[in-house]
This record gives sequence, C-alpha cells and structure tokens, in this order.
Amino acid sequence: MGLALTLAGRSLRAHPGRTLFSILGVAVGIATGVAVFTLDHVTVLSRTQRLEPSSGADLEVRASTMLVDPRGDLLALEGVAGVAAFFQNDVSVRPARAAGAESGQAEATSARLVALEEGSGPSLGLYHVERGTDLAGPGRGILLGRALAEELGLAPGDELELAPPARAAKADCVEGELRARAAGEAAPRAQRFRVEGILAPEGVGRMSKGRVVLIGYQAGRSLYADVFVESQFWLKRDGRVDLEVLEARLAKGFTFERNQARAVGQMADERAFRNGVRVAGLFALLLGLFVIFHTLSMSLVERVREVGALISLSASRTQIARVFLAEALVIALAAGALGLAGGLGLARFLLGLGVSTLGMQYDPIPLLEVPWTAVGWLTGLGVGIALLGSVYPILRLRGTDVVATLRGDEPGKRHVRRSFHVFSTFLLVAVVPAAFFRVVPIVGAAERTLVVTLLGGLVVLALLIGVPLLVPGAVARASSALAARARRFSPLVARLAARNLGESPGRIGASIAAVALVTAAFVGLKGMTASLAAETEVWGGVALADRLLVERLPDAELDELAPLLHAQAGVLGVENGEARVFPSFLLLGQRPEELSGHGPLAARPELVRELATGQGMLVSQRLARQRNLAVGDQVFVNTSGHGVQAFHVAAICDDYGYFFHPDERAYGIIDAALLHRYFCIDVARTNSIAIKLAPGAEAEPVLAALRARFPQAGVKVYGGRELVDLMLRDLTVDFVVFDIILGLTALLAALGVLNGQLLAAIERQKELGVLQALGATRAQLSGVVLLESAVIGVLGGVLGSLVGLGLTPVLVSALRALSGLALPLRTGGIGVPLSCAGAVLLTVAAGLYPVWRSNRMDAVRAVRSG
Amino acid sequence: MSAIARVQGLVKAYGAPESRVEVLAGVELELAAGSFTCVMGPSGSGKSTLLHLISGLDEPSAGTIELAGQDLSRLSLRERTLLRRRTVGYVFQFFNLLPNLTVEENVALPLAIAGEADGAGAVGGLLERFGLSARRAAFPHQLSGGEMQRTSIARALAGRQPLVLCDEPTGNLAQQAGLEVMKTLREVCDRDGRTVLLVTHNPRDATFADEVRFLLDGRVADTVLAGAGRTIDDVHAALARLSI
Repeated sequence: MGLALTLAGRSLRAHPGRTLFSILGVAVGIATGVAVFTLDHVTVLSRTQRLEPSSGADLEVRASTMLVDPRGDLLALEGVAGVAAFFQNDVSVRPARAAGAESGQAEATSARLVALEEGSGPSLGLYHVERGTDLAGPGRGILLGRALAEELGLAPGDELELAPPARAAKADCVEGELRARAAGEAAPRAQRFRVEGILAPEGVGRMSKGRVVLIGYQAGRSLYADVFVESQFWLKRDGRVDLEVLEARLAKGFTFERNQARAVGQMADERAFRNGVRVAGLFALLLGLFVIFHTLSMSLVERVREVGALISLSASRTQIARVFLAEALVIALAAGALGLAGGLGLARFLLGLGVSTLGMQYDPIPLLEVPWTAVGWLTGLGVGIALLGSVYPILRLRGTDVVATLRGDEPGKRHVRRSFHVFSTFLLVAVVPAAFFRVVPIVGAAERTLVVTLLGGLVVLALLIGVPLLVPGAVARASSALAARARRFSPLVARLAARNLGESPGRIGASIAAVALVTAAFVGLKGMTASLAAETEVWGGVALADRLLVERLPDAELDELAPLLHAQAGVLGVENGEARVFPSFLLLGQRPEELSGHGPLAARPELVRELATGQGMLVSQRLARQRNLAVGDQVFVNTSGHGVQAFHVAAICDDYGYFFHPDERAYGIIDAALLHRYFCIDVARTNSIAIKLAPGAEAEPVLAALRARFPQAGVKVYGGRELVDLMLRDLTVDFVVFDIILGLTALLAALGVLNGQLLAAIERQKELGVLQALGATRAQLSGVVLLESAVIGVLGGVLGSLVGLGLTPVLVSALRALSGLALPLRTGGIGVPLSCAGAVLLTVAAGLYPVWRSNRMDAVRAVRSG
Repeated sequence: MSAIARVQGLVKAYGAPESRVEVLAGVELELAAGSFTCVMGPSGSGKSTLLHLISGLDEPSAGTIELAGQDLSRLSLRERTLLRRRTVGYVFQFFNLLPNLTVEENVALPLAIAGEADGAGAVGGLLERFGLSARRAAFPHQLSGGEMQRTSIARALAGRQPLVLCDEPTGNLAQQAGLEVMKTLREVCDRDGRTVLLVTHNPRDATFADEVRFLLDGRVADTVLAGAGRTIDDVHAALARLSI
C-alpha cells in the first residue's frame, strides 16, 4: 500500500487545483443533501415542539350518530392503519399506600385519565412504557405519566386509587347557552389500581405534561359508570395515504380533529414544498457527483500514459488499481467529511436566518437535533458513489493498450471516455436517485403525478447528461461554429477556441449539460413561483378585491357597527372576524344578509335562505378541494352540545370569509346564529371585521367613520391589495430556500466548467507553450479559454432555458396535483433571460482560474515535455 | 552462453483481415546472456514492437517468445507481469519518468513495485554511479534530457533484472548526452553483466553493441555486424547495402 499511497499522494499534491475542486464538487453536493434533510427534520421538529402535546395518533375521530358500527366502518376505510377506542376525562388520584388514605389525610391530586381499548396502544404507537410493563388485558392495571409518578412517588408495583372528579369538568352548549353537566349526587366511588408501568414522555405520555394516567377501556367504563362520557377513536393513518385524502374519506361519516403535532408538514401544499426541497437537494448531489465524474473522465485520459509506464515497469494491475483507489478514497473521504460538516453548518446558518422547508420564519430556529442516521447515509451515499465512479476507470484499465500509450498514441481515449459516460449516467440517473429516496423518502403518498414528474425529471436529466454521448458531433459543431463568430474581434482566439471546442465534444458536452441543468432548474423554478404568484393574484382578485380587513376594534357591537358602515357609500357587507370555531376545519359564522350584497349570494338569493334556515354551508375552494366536496355534499361537524350536526354544501366560493388572522384559506361559513346555537360563540360582539366595498368605492370615508366611532382605539386596517402584495412578498421569501439550493448547484456547475477548462489547459500545455514561444500574448491565450467558457455558457444557458420552459408546464401541473392549488400556468418571465445571462457570467467566471493557471505555465517546460 | 531470450517465427499483424498489416513477419532472434545486441531498422520497421513483444507487454499474432526459459504464450497476464518484473528493465526514448516522483523515488520505483523495502542502499549506489546524487530530490521536469535518461537507466537497473530493453534511448537527447548514455549502457553490460537489447536507428549507438542486427520488411536480415573494432562507417555501409 506504500507505493499506492505515495503515488496517490503525489498525484493529489501535484494537481492541487484538480484535487481541491474535485473535493469541493462532491462536498458541496453532499453538503446540500445533508443541509436539506437536516433543515427539513428541524423544521418539522421545531413546529411539533411548539404544539400542545397530544397522543401519538394521527386523528381523533367521532362517529356521526347514524353509524351502527363506527369501529368496523373505520377499519374498512382505505388508509386506516389502526383504530383504538378511547375516552378521556379528569380524574382524582390518591396513592393507596399512604398510611392516611383511609383516615382521609392523604391528599388527592387531579390528573388526566385516558381509558384506551386494551392492547391497541403500543401497536398503534400511541405510547411507550419506559419502566415496568404494559397493561396486560382487562384488569386493574394502570400506566402513569412520568411527571405524575414522580410527583406522587409511585413506581411499578405500587397501588393507587382513582375516582371521577367530584364535579363535572365540562359544560355543554345547548341552544346557545352554556349549561353545566349534571354532577352525581353521591360522592364518586374510588377504585383501586396497580401501577404496571411508567409512560415515556411521548404520545399519551406527553399529554397534560406527563400528569396522565392510562387504564383499560373497560376499567374506565366501570370507573365512570355514572358519568356520561363520549366514546371516540384514535386513528392511525397508513403512511401510503395522504392525510387529506383520508380526511376526505372520513368526512362522509365522521368528524375528526387532526393531531397537529403529527400533521406538521403533512398537508398537500407543505408536502409539495418539502418534496420540492428534497428534489432540489437530490439535484445538487447529482450535480456534485457529475462534476467529479467529469473530472475523472478528463484525468483518466491524462493518466493513461502514467499507467502505461507503470505497467511497463511490471506494476501489477492490482497495484495500479490501489493507486487510483487510494486517490479516490482521499478525495471521497475528504469530500464526505467536508460535506457533512459544511451541510450541518449550512443548515445551522439557514435555520438561524429563519429559513425552513415550510417557508421563511420570522425568528431564528435553533438546530434542535441532527438526524445522524439519515445524514450519515447521505454522506455515505455521496462518498460511495464517488468511489464507485473512481473504481470504474480501474476496471477499464483491463482494456488499456499499454503499447499504444507508451508510444504516445491514445487509440482507446474516446472509447474509455464514452464507456465512462455511460457508466456515470447510469449511476446518476438510476442508482443515486433510487438510493437518495431510500434515505430521504418522499413526504406523503407516492402519487402517480409525483412519480410521473420525478421520472420525467430523470428522463430530462438522462438526456442532458447523455447529450455528449448521443450527439457529440452536433455539440462540438455548434460550439465550434459559435466560437468562430468571434473572428472579427480576434481571428487567432476565435480559430483556436473553435478548434478546441470542436475537438473536445465530451468535455464541452459535459460542461454544457451541467450549465443547462442548472439553468433549466432556475427557469423551471421561476415558472413555478410565477404560477404560484398568479394563483395568489387570481384568488386575491376574488377573496380580497375591494375588501378592508379591520382589526383591534374595542369589542364592537355588530348591531351598531353594521348600520354605521352600511350608511357609508359603497359598503356591500360587513363580516365578523371573531365568530369562528375549529371543529376539524375553520368554521366561520356570518350573518347571511351581510353576504347577500355581492358574490354568489347576490346572484342567487335562495342561497341566503339555505344558509339561514337549511343548515347550508359555504365552502371555500381550498376546503372543497381538500375534502373533495361538491355542492350538495354533507359536511359533519361535531358540536359542543348538539352532537354531530350535518350541514350541506350550498356553494363553493372564495368571495366571503377570508381574514388575515388566522391566515387560512380552507374554511366553511354557516349562519352566525347556528354557530352561536351549536358552539355558544358570541357572534354579536367582535374585535375584527371585514368590509366589502363596491368596485371603485372610496375606502377613506368608511375608515373615517370607523375612526370617528372609535377615536381612542388603535384600529389596524389592511387593504385587499396590500394583503395580496404581502402574500406575494412572503411567497418570494418562502422560496428563498430553493434559490439557495439552486445557487449551490450553480456553484457546482461552475466547478464542473472550471475543472473541465483546467484539465484541458493542462492537457494542452505543450500547445500553449509552443504558442507562447511563437509570440502569442497571454491575453490571446486567456481569450481562448474565456471564449470557450462563454460559448459553453451561451449554449448551456440557451439549452437550459428551452428545457426549463418545456418543463414548466409539467412542474406546474405536478404542483397543481400535489398541492391542491388551482395554479394557472405562467413562465418565469424576465427570470428566463436573466437565468441565461447568469449562465454566461457563471461560466466566464469559472474560466478565470484556468486562465490564471495557464498564465503561470512555464513555456520552456511545456515545450520540453515529451 | 545460454540465451536469456529466444524469438522464433514471430509475427505481429494489425488491422482487419482484408487490410492486415504485418509489422513483424517471422522474426528469429536469440539474445545470449550478458550480450549487448543492437537492432536497427527504419522508422516503422517494428523495432519498438519487437521490444514490447519480448517484454510481454504485447502479444504476438504468431510465433513464440521464450524469456528466461519460459514460453510467454503459456503465461497468464499476471504471470507475464511477474516474469517481466523479475527479468526486464526498460529504458524509453521519452524516459517515461513519473512526473510526480523525485529522481530517487523514480529510481526506487521497481523496488517499490516488487515490494522490496530495503533497497535504499542500492538506490543510493545507483544515484552515485550515474551522477544523480545531487539531483536525487529533483523532479523530472527539473532535469536535463541526459539526466532524465540516466535516471531512466538507473531505474532499469534498480530491479536487478538480467535483461535491459532500450527503446531509442538517445533519440531525444543531444549528441554529447546521447554519447554518455551509450557509454553507460555499455558499462551496464560489461560491469553488471546485464543483457542489453537496444533498438535504434542511430548508427553511432550501434557501434557500442557486440552484435548489430537489421530489421527489414518485418524480418531480421541475415546481415550481422559482429566482433570488436566496428566503426560507424561499417554500420553506414551495412545500412547502405540493405538500402535502409
């Protein structure tokens, strides 16, 4: 191994530029993948930690009253992985071992009780027992939350007494009035339980901050025999079915609440965003590996002569293979270490700026946790593929014509490069994506649209990488012809650049492919963001046009406020921003007469009646898409005292109901009177309203009237246009993470071009020396390299722009299907020529280092070399 | 004297059957151990090809090559490599020194390839002998042409192989440097007892050999210049007779 290490070490040190840029290429690719995954992991974790603890289930489900066998119906639903019946209530806990338990000296404490269908908890991942054992079937066993166990000093084997609380903890809303539930006359009867185990602080164990007791369902029914408890189900989702798809199926017969902690990042638009970031990470990794393969393919030919000399000196092929392997190991391991450290550093930096995979946050996000397993695999993937790419040339050494290489001929040069391109294309297009998605799986179900889009992307990738293989002559001719057009500025530079480009189809093709890939990605991304912006514009044109959102009103009476505002010219309606509940989606209560002045209710007065007397509901476009609702469908809502109520969809529109707080576009609207009746929400007073104006109506007189009515209040007013602009700005900021990733891929493409140009300069150093000897100036020689770079940039930029423009409809259509947004198709606009110009600037900048190197070249040495 | 290498009916052809070109068309040659043989011939006559075949770097189209008593055609690639490692040292026209290694490391390379760790003394001796001690830490690009070729010869001797194949070793050197290299090669034969096979088209180089053979039309001509006291004019005359 000593010889291999010596030769490898010398080779690496003799070409510091090549070594550094090869390491950087792989490192930046790995770093991007690591950063993306860490960013996503921490994004979800930080959002989850901010939420109230709840069980480990995905949904909490209540059956509509019509269902005979709700459990069976739930299990029959596609996308349900498991169901557990449960109920929860407050409970009084008293340690039974306390000496004074019977004399009444021991103090009871209250806690949260969960009675759960026996045997279902661990299988659904609802909790984890950290000490002791799980509940063994129906009986008097109990599991304690860690905090409660510590507080009461209880351990597995101890006994305690549970009793329902002396008074009912809840009140019901009946006909718009809160009524306390009737408490039992007799003192609650305590029952004795034995502590079987202590719950870890996760799932059920996190509920009520660990002050929780878990018993069997039957034992719970026995304990609460005299008290009304409502049975519910915890439902675990099959990971292959998306959350909103399951919700849409459930909505036909159940009401439900999402476990927000488990729903973070799982909604359609969030999934689309997160998957987009992941794909961008994969793209960067691919490009990084492409750079090193490109470099290897170039240096392979450079080193064939060295290999020939070693063979003639009787070095075995194993010994030669060790040299390559040692060199590749150094590059790959250094790149892996640098990539891992750089990726984590990048993730920390981006999180510090508030960049996340669910959009931009206003506050810095701490790097809560590093997902070591996944980032380890990602780093290993990059290192492994880089090594594979290095091993392949060794295998190809079997075919090396030693005699020819010793003679200085390189008859197999093209063949070796070509087969290496085929091999690297296979690795990049098939092996790396498959391995990447194994380590970083797609978020949500592998929907057909997503799979088709990914496959389409891979085909484009294969085509672009395969361009040097498929049409090397065409690439060479096109670039050569383009360079020749610079004749009028400098005939020598143009002629030399044209000849070099024409003679190196593999190198030029690979560089053009790298630049084209990045340009295409930029153009595609700009198209996607333009489509998203257009969707916001279209939606804003309906939901926010001529709408004023007013906040911080001092408890205004709507009965007083609405007439005051209607007295102003052009006011069509006043909506209440405070009358809202969240049974399983945002449900607003509005006075139908306030909606009847514009939109569908103005055109169809019968809708007003449906809302007022027929349990009708207006459903926003987004909610309708999420739940697959059509006009006439039923929507079940779990109320606070009237059980599950069925509403029917009267109309689907975005004309009413949007408020900036909460910024939610998926909602339903019912008559405010019904909201009051079923949920006891105060619908008469409010702190925020929306005022709908007639088109062209002046806002200022309306606002003046408001200020006159509330002179002391710091009323805050948002105009509709202002909000749309704010959303568009947020959209741009949210997508900054893509800009950063694509910026890194642009850096990688530049490295690829730089490496290609650098190796070409080294390969041609004898020629450059001769040219210098013949009187060519450094400016002329630099001009050749820069002209080549510019040609690569122009061709890569144009090709990439065309591919990007062609991809935009596919990407938008995929995003439409994935996010559930009604996206209009737009292209990147000014972003397209800017991306193209950026490609040229990038490649010219990448040519500067090779220019510097070739200027430092010793002409005498170059001429002397054999 | 026993033969270190024996070539019989050696044929090397290139190309498809319809456009087949026979570079060597039945070469017969025997190299006695400790001899210095020169093979001359015009450009493209197959001189280098002959060396590649004898060293086992290339495979013949027909005929047999016996190297150190072993028929190369019966050996696997690995066995050929190991035999070459034990038997053949190489000197090239373009030196083929590894550019990233110093003079000393280049000379020691055959030992490193053979896995011999204790060759430092031998290498030092070779550097001393070839006047390279002061340049031991220099890289090839820092050497003159003569120094590069002396390094190359030292490398060919470092492995103590009995046969040294020299492919136009002075072809890339100035007159004086070439002369020194030839003297060195003669010394390699006389002092070290190595067998030297030199291919060249330089008549002056041929005067250093014990025996000069001519490669013509793919065969070794019957004309042989042998014996001491041969002058450059004798070589020129022989070349003229053979119309080379």
